[in-house]
Amino acid sequence: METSAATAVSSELRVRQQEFFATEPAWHRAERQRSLTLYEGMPIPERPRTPLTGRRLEAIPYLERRPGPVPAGVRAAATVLLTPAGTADVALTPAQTAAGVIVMDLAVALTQHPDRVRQILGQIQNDAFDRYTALNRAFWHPGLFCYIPPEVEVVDPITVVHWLDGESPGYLPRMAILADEAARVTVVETLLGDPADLHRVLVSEVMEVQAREGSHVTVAGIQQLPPGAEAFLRRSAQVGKDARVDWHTGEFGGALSVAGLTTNLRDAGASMSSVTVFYGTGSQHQDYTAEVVHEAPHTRSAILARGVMGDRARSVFTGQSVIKKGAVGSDARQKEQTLMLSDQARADAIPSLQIDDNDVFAAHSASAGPVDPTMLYYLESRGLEPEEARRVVIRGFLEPVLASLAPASVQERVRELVETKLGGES
Amino acid sequence: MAAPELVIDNLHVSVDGTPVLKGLSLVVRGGEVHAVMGPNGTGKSTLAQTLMGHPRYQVTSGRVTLDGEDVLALKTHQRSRLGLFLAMQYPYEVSGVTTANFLRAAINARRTETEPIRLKDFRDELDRAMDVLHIDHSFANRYLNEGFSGGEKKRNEILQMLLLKPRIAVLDEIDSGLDIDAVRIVSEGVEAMRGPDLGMLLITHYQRILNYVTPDVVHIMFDGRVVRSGGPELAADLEQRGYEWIREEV
Ligand SMILES: Nc1ncnc2c1ncn2[C@@H]1O[C@H](COP(=O)(O)OP(=O)(O)O)[C@@H](O)[C@H]1O
Ligand SMILES: [Mg+2]
Repeated sequence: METSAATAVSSELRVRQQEFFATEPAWHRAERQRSLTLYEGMPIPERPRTPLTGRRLEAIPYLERRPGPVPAGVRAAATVLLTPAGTADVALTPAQTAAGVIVMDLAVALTQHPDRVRQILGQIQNDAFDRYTALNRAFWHPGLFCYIPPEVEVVDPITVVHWLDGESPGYLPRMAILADEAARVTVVETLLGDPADLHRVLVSEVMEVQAREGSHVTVAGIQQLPPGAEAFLRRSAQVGKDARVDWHTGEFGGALSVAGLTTNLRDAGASMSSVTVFYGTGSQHQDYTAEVVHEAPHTRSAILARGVMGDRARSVFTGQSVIKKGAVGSDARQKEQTLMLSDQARADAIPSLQIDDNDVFAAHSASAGPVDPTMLYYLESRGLEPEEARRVVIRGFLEPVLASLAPASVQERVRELVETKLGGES
Repeated sequence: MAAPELVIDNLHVSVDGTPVLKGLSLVVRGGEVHAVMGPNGTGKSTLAQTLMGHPRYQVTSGRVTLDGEDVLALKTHQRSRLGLFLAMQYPYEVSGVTTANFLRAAINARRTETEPIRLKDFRDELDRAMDVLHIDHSFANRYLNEGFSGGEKKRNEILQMLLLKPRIAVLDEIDSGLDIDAVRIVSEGVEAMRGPDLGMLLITHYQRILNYVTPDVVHIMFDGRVVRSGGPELAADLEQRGYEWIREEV
C-alpha cells in the first residue's frame, strides 16, 4: 500500500510538472524531470540545531497557486516584480537597455538566450544539494535572468521585488545572474509579503551568480517574508579571475529561514565578502550558513555577521571557509557575533576553517552573549532610561556592520527594519 | 534653585554579601570640593557606585539624600536626572555609539520638559568643552571609549560632566593613570566647573591632583568609614606620612 500511495503522489507531481512546463524547451523539461526524481529520493535535510521534521513542511500544498492583488507601492519601486503568479514586466532604464543589459523572465530566456542560460542555470548551484534545491529545479517559477555584457557598468541597482501575494502556499523563485568580463552590477533583492498575513507558505529560492573575469557583482538581499513563511534560500556564486562578489544581507522575516550562501573563488585574484545583519523576535528560527571555497591562489574572503535574538527566537550562524591545496597567498576571515536579549533566546555561532594549504592567512572568531548589564548601567548613569539604554546598546552593537551595508538604499531599509524590531521588542 | 546638598548618613553597603561600607557619613554642599582619600580596597569606589545605583552594591542600612530627595529609592537614570554624576574609575566601552550622539541623547534625556537641544547649540557646546580639555574634535565621532587610552577615557568622563552640568559630581580616581600634563588639564576642567551650583566629591588615592584642585575638606577613609576629616593640610600630612600612620591610629 505504502509504495502505491507514494507512486500515486509521484505520478501526480509528474503530471503537474508536465502541465506547468509544457511549453518549455525539451532540454530544460528533462532537467526538471531529473530533479523531481532527485527530490523524491531525498529526505528532509537534517540540521542538528534546526529540527525540521516537527514543522510539518510536507503538509503545505506548495504547488497550489492562488494569485492575489499586489499593492501599488510594491510594484512601483522595482525594476522587476516577481510573484507566485509569475514574472511581471521589466522596467529597465533607457541607459541599461542601450548598454545591452538583459533582465527578463527566465522562462522566456530559456528560449531566447538558451546558450547563455545553459552556462549558468544549474551550473553554480548543484540541484542535488538538498531536497529543497531539487524541488526548486523541478518546479521553479517565477524566474529571472540578468545578463550584463562585457565592460558594462550598470550604475543604478537592478531592484527585484518578490511579493508573496498572501494566498499561495508555495513560492519557488529562481534567479540567474551572469556578469560578463569586467562588468559591474548591483542587484537588490527584497523578499516581501504582508506582515499581517499568517498563512503558511513554503519558500525555496535558488540564486546563481557567475562573475566572470574582472567583474564586480554586488547582491543585496533583504528578507522580510511574512510571518508564516518557511523559507529555504540558497545563493551561490562562482567568481572568476580578479572578479569580486559582495553579498549584503538583512534577515528579518519568516517563521523559519534556512539561508545558505556559497561562493567559489575559482580563479586567481578572486574575492568575496559577505555582510549579514539578522534580527529575530517572537519564535523565529534563523539558520544561516556562509561558505566560501578558495580554489585558486591569492583569493580573499571576508565573512561578517551580527545578529540580535529577542524573545524566544533562535539563530544558528555557520561560517565555513575552505582553502584548497594550491590556493597559496589566500586570505580568509570570518567574524560572527550575536547578542541575546532574553533568557529564552538562543544563538549559536559556529565558525569553521578548513585549510589544505600552509601559505595562507585565515582568522575566525565567533561569540554569542547577553547584553552587558554594566554597560546599561553606564548609560543609565548619564540619564538614559533603561529601555533607551538597551536600544542604544543594541543599535550600537549592530552599527559597525550596518554601516558597511551597501548600496545606501539597502542600508537605509535595513536600519528601518532594525528600528521596527526594536520598537516591537518586549 | 538653592545650592545642592548631598547628605550621606551612616551608610552600610555589602558586595556579594560582604560588608564593605560600614557606617559612612558625609555632607557635600554646592561650592564645596571634598577630597576622599584612602588606601586601595577601603571602599571608595563602592561609595561612588552605590551613590549612582550600580546593581552589584546592596545598601543594607543608612540614608542618602540630594536636596532632601531619597536618592536610594531612585533608579540610576533618575539619580542622574536629579543632578548626580559619577566619573567612573573604569569607564565602559560602548561600541557603535559615537561620543557625540551619546552625549546628545544624554542631554535630551534630562530635558523632558523642554525641546531637545538644537544640533547647532549642542555642537558649539561640545566643541567648547573639548577645547577646555584639549580633546581633539575628531573624538566626538569615535565610538564611546572604544579603543581609548586610559587617559582619554578619563578626559571623556570630564567632558561628559561639563556637558551634563550636574549638581553633585563624584569623580572616582579621575587622576590615576594620567601623566602630569593630563592631570593638569583634567584639573582645569574640574576647576572650570567649580561654583556654587556644584558640589564635588573628589576620590583619589594620591595627593597629586590636590596640587591643582584645592579641596575645601579632606576625608580619610579606612575600612569602609571616614576616620578623619580636616582641611587641605590633612592631604599634605598623608603625603608625608603615608597611609600606615592612619592604619596604626585607628
Ligand atoms: N564589583 C566588586 N566585586 C567584588 N568585590 C568588590 C567589588 N567592588 C568592590 N569589591 C570589594 O570591596 C572592597 C572595596 O573595594 P573598592 O570600593 O573598589 O575600594 P577602593 O575603591 O577604595 O579601592 C574590596 O575588598 C573589593 O575587593
Ligand atoms: Mg576604587
